[in-house]
Amino acid sequence: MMLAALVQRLAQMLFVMFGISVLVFLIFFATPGSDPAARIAGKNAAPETLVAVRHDFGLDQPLPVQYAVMMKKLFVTHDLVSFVNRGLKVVPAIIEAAPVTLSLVFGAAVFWLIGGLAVGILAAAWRDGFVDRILMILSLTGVAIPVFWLGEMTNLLSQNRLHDTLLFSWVPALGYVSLHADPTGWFKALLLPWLTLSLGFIGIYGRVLRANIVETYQEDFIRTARAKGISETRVLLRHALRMSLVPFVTMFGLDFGALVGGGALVTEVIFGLNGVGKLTYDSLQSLDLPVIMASVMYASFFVVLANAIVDMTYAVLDPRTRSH
Amino acid sequence: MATEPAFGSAVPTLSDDSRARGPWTQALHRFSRDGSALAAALVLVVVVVASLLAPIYAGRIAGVDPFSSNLEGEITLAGENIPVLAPSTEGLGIGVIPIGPTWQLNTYFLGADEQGRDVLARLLYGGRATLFIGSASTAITLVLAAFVGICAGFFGGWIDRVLSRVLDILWAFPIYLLAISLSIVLLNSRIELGPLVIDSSSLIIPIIIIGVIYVPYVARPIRGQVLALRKSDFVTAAIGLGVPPHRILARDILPNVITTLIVFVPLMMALNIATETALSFLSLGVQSPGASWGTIIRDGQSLLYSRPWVSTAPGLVIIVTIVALNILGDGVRDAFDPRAKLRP
Amino acid sequence: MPTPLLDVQGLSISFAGRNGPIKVIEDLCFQVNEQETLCIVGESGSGKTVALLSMLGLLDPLSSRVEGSASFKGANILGASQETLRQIRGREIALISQDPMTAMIPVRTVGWQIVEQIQAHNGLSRRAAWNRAIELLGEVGIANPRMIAGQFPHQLSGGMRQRAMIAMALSCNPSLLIADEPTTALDVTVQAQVLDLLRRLRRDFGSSIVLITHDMGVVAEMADRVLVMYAGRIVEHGSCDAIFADAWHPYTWGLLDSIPPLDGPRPDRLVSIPGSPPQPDKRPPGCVFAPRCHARIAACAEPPPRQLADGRDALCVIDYANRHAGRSHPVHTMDQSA
Repeated sequence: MMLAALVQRLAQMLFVMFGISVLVFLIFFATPGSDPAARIAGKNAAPETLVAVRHDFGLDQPLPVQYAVMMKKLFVTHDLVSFVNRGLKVVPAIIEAAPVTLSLVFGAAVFWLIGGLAVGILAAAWRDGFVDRILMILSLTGVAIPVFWLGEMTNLLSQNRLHDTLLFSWVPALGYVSLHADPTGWFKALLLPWLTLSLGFIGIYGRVLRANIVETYQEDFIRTARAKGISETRVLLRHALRMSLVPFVTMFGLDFGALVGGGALVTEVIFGLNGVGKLTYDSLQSLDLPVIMASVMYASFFVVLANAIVDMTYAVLDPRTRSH
Repeated sequence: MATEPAFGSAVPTLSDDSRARGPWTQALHRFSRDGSALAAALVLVVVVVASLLAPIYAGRIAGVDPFSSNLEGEITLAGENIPVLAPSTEGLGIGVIPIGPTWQLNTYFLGADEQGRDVLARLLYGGRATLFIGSASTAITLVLAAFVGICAGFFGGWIDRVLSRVLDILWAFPIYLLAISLSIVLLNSRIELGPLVIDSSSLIIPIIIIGVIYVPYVARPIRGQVLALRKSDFVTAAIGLGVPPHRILARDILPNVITTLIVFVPLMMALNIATETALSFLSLGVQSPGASWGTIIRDGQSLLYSRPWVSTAPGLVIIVTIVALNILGDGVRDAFDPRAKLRP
Repeated sequence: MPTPLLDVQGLSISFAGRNGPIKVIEDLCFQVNEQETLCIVGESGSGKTVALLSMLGLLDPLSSRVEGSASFKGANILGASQETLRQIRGREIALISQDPMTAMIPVRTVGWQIVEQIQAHNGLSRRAAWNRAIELLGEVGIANPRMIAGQFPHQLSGGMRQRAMIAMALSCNPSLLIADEPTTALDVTVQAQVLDLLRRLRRDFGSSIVLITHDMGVVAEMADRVLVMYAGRIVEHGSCDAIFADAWHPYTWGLLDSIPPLDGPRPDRLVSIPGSPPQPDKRPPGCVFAPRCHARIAACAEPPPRQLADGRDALCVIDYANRHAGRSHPVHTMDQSA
């Protein structure tokens, strides 16, 4: 039974990814008025150049053939090559950029998990009081701050205005430092990006968690728990929080998956981190179609995977969903 | 038995409090007593009015044209003539640096950008673009989502399967990537649909893109709601009695869906404004020389260290607007579905 | 006269309403003695549950105000500190809730939940507590306690869930057990089993039980003494035998008359008390029951006096002299107007 469900799930995932690959392909290769050859060759290219480019890149083949060729190069022969930078093999480029993104996202995730839990629990523990109101207003503000603007402001303060003060003198120049080469440098280069990226998430998660805990407090089993004579802290943490974890974990899984796939591209661009997001962004700007295809597939793979993992965690978190 | 004292009958009469208020009047009443929601609404009104008055400000008060470059201009400040773009004395001493904030409403209140344009005037015009795109795309999202959600939830069967699959694929596509991809492609091509020609600088493109990408976000809850309603007793009874589907939809399903949509309006506006400003920041939203809060932040990037107000001001305005929209959104939701917050 | 286990005097409870506080419970006085079963009976909304919850300090302090005094084993509990209350809850006074499905946390096993209560009050090791939990599950009549302890609430049947709740409540040998409509959510056959269980446990453990119910049949089976509540007041109180043989208050008459008869001629219609209880904020100034009472007189516009006798009382103007006449006057059936 379990195997059948797993296989079905896998098939669903593959179907969705296939759909996405077709969608991306169509967007870039088939939108009316879009002509990849014209974009590659440049604005005022001669007709002969266009023909040559088309032939070169296989763009004179019918659409399904182009799609098949590109998919083959991506998944089977792994020799997909960039349109713009002819020497660049796409898959290795992504693999090289991945650790940067992973460093950024993991670090930010640690901050936003701790921050979100703290804000949600504290606000719920002292609900309707002063602490609660302050935390909720701060969370709301955090959510409203555009990430790119916050990154700019952070750079303004840490790189320029306050760079000489004790607070920010340790901040290195923008860019990524390899973990193996220089762990301290890696940490220092990433600290501000982590905080910038996680602020908005702390706001969202704090608010959602508080709302869920407060709602859970209305349930009967909370009254039973109190009537059993356990401490109020234990009621909050072992009963109310425990029941509120399901939506929290769900959201986390989906957000994390989206970011690992390159969803933090604005943060990467502003802080000069050469991760998958920046790679995607650059390829989009230069209309480097193979890289675009590869990056989008890479990103959606993680989104789809995250969805599947999140569904599986339901069974762990809530025994009622397990089939007995 | 003694004479009947005036007790009232054994069957209780309707209490005089239930002035049979419809749910809409009740919601309005609750909303009108929500202090923070009203304050947020007021803030939003101020923002909208200020943006709408942009032409008046630019034309009458500041006397500038916020869309054309003003590289040679001069302004009079405290009797002195100061060029708008002065030779730079910072760093390597090359290039020009625009004038900083004068804090005077009639001229370059927030200073100039690197094209010599009045930042405050552009900020107000930017408000028009951003708010317009935000509202229009919200309208598109809600209408499409309602349509898809109701079809999928009410009719079920293969319609539901197909629509859900499409929503799944759409939603699995990382949303910013989708927005960026569509923007890049559509901005680089002229779209000709018969007699309709959509220029790449038209605002229609970001409106439609942002409107479409968030459809799954709203369509799913609506579909869930319609599914639940369809399984409810009164709808099952109506179907059994032979009430035609369009009546059931109009009378039972639609009013509930509309309530959900109303709650979504401020939240989607906040989300869409955030997306629009991000796209414009990436040069994929509003195109030059047009202004949006996002483009101004982008314009201020190169001036970040020398003239930080160019980037800072739009960010602050975005924050205030989105916070106000979220508070308003909470208020609207509470107005329709209050948790009994009893206060002694 | 030994000290009562629980002694409540002048208990009044108000809830926050839209236009100011609403008095839900009005001047309640009652005692619970050692080793007895007290049944509190009344319609929904009479305040039965609220009154008992306030004993344990389980009402929301932000939206409720509790006045009066209550002492448990001689010590004041209404104004007691949070820590004192926490120690009393579960150990001295235990609560069995109405719906065991929602009353237990769904993501923890039954055994875990019982162990949590045990460990909150005893310094037992986890294993010892777990074994004790299994023991308790066995004592409440569960056939395979070791297996059941490892199951989740949704995996058990309604009757077993309630038994598990009872086991949990008894885990620390409380002196007082508050059972809030313990059989309402159960099938009739299971009801009988659970009541048997409660009776047996009361004997074996020696605790007192306050049993809240709206079912006179349960009262007849279980009660030593009975409190009849209506609209936030105690309208009648007495021993179970006395109440059933010779009730004093017209409301109690209505409750007793509405029990479908097992023998005798088959009535055309079932008897019921016309109307419904008033909303807490719309209670009449005089006798609360007067609008629905078939025996009311002009004097009922004033607050009624309390008729007292040995071990019983009733909140009614009808005194001994007029009682028989009032009682024999037929109670209205559903299609007759006031």
